[in-house]
Amino acid sequence: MVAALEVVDPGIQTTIQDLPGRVGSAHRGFSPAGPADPFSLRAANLLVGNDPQAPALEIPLVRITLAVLCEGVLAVTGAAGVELTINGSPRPAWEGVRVRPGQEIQLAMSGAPGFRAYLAFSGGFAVRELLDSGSTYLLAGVGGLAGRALVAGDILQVNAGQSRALRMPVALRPVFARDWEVEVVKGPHADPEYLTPTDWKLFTAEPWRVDLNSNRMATRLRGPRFEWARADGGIAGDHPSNILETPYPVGGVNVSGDEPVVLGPEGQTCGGFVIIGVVPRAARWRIGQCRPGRDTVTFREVSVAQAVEMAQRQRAALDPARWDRL
Amino acid sequence: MCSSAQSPEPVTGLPPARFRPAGDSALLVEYGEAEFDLRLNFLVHAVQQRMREAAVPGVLDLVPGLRSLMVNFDPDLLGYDRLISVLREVHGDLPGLAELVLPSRSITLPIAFDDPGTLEAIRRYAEAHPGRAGTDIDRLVEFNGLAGRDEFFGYVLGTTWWVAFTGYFPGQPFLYPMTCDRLLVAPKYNPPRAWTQEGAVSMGGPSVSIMPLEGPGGYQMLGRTLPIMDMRRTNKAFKADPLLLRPADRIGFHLVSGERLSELRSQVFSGEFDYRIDDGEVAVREFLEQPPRLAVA
Repeated sequence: MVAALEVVDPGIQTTIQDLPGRVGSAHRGFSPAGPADPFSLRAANLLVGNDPQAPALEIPLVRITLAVLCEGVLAVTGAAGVELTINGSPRPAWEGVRVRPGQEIQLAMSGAPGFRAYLAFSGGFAVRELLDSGSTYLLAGVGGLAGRALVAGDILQVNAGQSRALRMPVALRPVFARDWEVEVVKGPHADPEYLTPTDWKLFTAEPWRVDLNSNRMATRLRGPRFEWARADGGIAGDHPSNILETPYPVGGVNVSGDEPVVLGPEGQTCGGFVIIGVVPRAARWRIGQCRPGRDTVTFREVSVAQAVEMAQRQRAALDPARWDRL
Repeated sequence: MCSSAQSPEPVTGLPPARFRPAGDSALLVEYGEAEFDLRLNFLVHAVQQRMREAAVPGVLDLVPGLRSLMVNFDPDLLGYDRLISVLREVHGDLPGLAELVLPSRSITLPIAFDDPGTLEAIRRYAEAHPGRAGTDIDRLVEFNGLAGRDEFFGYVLGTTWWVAFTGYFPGQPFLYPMTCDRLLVAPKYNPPRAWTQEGAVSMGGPSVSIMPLEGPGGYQMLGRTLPIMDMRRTNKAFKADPLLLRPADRIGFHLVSGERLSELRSQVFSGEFDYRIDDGEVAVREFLEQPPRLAVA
């Protein structure tokens, strides 16, 4: 292990995340944590020669300043608006960049779309694992660096490892938007039992505004109100969105009262409200890149089979053999 | 109330299961109808246990709810059709509900009703929401038409509580009464409370919960117990597992004063305190055969 970076300005809530996260412990109440945009985290790691699932930084609002403490390669991916500078000189995102001690790395956000940047360092950040994952789970204060977001003065260690520097061709990079189209699979509590068919059409046709109060737990959506197919939740409660306590899937579109949220990587593992849809694995990065208070989401229904195919296609884009060697 | 509406229906067969896809990597299995019926939760645990033993490649997690089980899986290794057929096999191999025997630990925890932390949380909420008077326990006594606080204490202390599932926060148990001659219920805070202390014992609907860490809450606060989560693992009860409670545990509460609870909590942190945890099992038949019934309505 070697000290690689010192945090000068931590940004608003920068955390260390890895993949697949703390899966397998939802039955104990652990949400998996992990990156809100798994594609960008994988890409960042592959660009510098790491295991694609290695711990990397998730940087919301693309704001951070770091001092380099050791030689290595770093890569920044994520939000289209990311502006990377090293000692004040602009450098490109989506490619490995060689760095040396004494340099200062700064990320800032241009007006372009997207919300979260990812930064990987050759070797991968060294974190103590809990339940097979180093992902930061802010709610429980575990994982990452002391279970919390980074603060000024933190020293980030990396593991020893070989480095390389690749560039991901532009054609393979994800397309960012302000008005997002996001795939959704019909959920366990949709129409006609819980929602009316008209509600479901409304849900998948109308643009939903992404509320400012969105975070790694939930992306809150504002939009039309549902009619609901039933008057109340029966024994589970007064509102038709009430059901008896049930486990929640990651990516679930959870409606409590009249407010839908998309459950994020730190979303609660269970609760007493319907899951009308589920954002499938390959589409979750789009929710993770929605800028709260600005972007909109329009859902497009896909089948489970289509969702599985989407995931396969996405994986093909993450084949570093197809990328440029620098 | 502990229901007698469905008894004396002999429980030999199994309630119907509904398979509901929950995205491209999760399947939700719902059992029976939307009723507070702990028999359905026993079934959930029996299926979870057998699925775990089956060690099906691609199954990542088996997550119990009150009457549902979510299977998180890796679609590269396991498809929906195969998963559903495995679940059908497991259902087919289960004995009748009455024959189920579930491994279940018995854990005894102290409880201090209306301890200083609970009163502090109530005071903070009342500051922000004037017009709210009395403690949550007083409210529940009135809401359930009880003679007084002692009757409510008797309910909490005299009941064996079943950990139907854990979640929301890590290790947070949702407890339902296994034994009661009367089911008490609690309305939820509206709007929710911004702060609840770690260790808070609270009640919403028919379920009782314990906070593993401090945070917001919507349940009525009864009091406080010992820590049920310790990431630093200072007490030996947490050496192997930072979470004390697991689904299918049984909890019993015994009364202590607020002062005594503070002493016991200190002993937990200094490592002196021994949590009382006994291995055991629950034979569903015993509960079905003798009143009061498990099923509650």
